[in-house]
Amino acid sequence: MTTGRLMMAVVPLLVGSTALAAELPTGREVIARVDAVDTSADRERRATMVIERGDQRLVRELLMRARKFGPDERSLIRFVAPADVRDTQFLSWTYDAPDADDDLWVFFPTENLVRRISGGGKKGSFMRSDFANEDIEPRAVDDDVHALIEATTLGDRETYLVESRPIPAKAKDSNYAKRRIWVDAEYWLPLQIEYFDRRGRLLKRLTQGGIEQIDGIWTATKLIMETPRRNSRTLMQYTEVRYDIGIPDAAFEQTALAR
Amino acid sequence: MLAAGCAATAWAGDDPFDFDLTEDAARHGSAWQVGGFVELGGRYFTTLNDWLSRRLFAQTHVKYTRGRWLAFADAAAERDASVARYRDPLRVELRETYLRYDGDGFDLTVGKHRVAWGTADGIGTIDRINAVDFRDPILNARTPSRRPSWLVRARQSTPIGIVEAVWLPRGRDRKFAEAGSPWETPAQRSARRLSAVVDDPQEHEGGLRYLRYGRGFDWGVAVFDGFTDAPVASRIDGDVLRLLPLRSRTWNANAAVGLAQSTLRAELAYTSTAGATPVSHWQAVAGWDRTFFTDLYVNVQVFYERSAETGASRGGTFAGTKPVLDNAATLAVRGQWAAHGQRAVEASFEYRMNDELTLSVRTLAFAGEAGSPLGDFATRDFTALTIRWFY
Repeated sequence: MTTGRLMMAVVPLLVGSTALAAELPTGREVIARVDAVDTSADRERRATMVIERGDQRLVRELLMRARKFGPDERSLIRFVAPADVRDTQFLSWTYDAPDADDDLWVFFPTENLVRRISGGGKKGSFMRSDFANEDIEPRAVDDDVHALIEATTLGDRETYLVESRPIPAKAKDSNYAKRRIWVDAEYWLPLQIEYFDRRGRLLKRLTQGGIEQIDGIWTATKLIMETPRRNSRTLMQYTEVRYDIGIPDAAFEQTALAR
Repeated sequence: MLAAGCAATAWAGDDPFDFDLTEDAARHGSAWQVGGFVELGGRYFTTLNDWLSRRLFAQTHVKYTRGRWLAFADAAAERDASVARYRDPLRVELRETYLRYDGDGFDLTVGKHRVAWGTADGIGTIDRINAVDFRDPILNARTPSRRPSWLVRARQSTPIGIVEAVWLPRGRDRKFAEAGSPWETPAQRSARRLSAVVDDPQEHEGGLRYLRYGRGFDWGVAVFDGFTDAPVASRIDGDVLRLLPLRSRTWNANAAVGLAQSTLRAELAYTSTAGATPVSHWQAVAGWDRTFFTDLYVNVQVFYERSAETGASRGGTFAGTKPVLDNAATLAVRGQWAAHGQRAVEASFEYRMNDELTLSVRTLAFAGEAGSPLGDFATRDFTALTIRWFY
């Protein structure tokens, strides 16, 4: 690239960054904006995951429903594939209070059994993927302390880079000592998240794309979670995304847990 | 409106999001679902130096959903070269088959179904809706295998909890160990020498349950009125000695509490059994399970049982699992202990080779005084190797 072309590429970015920096929000304000993007009362979507690990390619499919109950949220995840876990379901009630533990129940179809489980498994892998269980669950804004690092660019997008560290009450439930989150300054969606362990080492990197406005809500429909140390990555794609479809309360009760 | 707009991604040049996974998911979109597995496996009695099982086993289920209705059927076929000395090597069985209506907060199920009640693991004081399958009673070292029952089940969700009623018009679907089977107990063998027959009452059984669940705490009460799983009494009827399950009723209270990384579970039950000499007993179960570190799961339960007729006894169950090999495999130990020196322990390794193939190896050992449930299997230690293909 010649110097002239480089300048043409860089100058607009610098100007944009300067404009962005003029009224910098706090880290918490950025994350609160991210949390407020989804204005729906309820949502439904189908998630397909492909795990690429060495020469293996594993496919998972899930149906996910969620609904807000005031500041809290209830969600139901039903496994569709692979076949050995088909119709297994997780019902979770999460509370918008840092000191409150989530309520979790799992449904095993072969025994037709509903069982309360603890949140202690949050750090484990989600269906052998590069996502941990905690990455799939909603996270309350005040579960972390957020600091704005800078207004910057990622690719051709203007972003805010925020560093989020879990509060002491949540730290024991998390694999991560901190996350660095690049939030799109227009859509207020995370474009990239880097996850660091307690020794400050990079554990994983999530990138989000396929951003669409669905039912008036900006939504990232494609995700890539990479674990560089394991030479592994998981692709996730959301399809059949629908918001505000009037999912009844009963869909998040134990009676909904059945084949 | 599905997509009012589509934003550019952050990525110039090669777009990392240039993928479409919908083709991988397309086959799951139908109202029909067909699935199951084919299993090739062998179980070898390490103490008897003989095969318990060398079988090809296939299980298939079909599910159809339309609106609020669901129809489900699950059948299994087995060909076992090691069982010809006491039964037909080919066995085909209908396992579950039922029709369900799902309303908002109400559902009704009619058919053959597995229904599990209670909060405890391994020792289910109210898990009585399905009979233990005495033909092959060991699901794992802490849990018996159970058979689906023909039943009608109704559940109503209310603002204060769930009310559930189950009615089994002809009782549980009891199956007893065949004569000559390795799972035939010495008592059954002796009775059969006397030309005894098991007289399954096939009378109706049923239960009622109330369950309340919510923030941090689930609790419930239940009652089940039915018959004992195993024949516990006898009657001479002409030239025939009839072995009889007896009518018995269990009252139960149970709870599960979530405490951060742990879950505490408890059950208290009182069972009275009719007969020429009525007996009754109390059972209490307390359990704790927790995930340590990232994914080491530990589960321990202890129980106490007291009967005016037979005195007190204690026991417990345990389980621990740990994913290994990048979560492709799971190491597990399970077991139980009870009065009269009864012990069962199992170690297993399950390796998921890909989404379809699973290889598992497990070994189980039993101990106990003769005449006790586990003591009767003290020479039945076995090691099993199984490969399953799921579809």
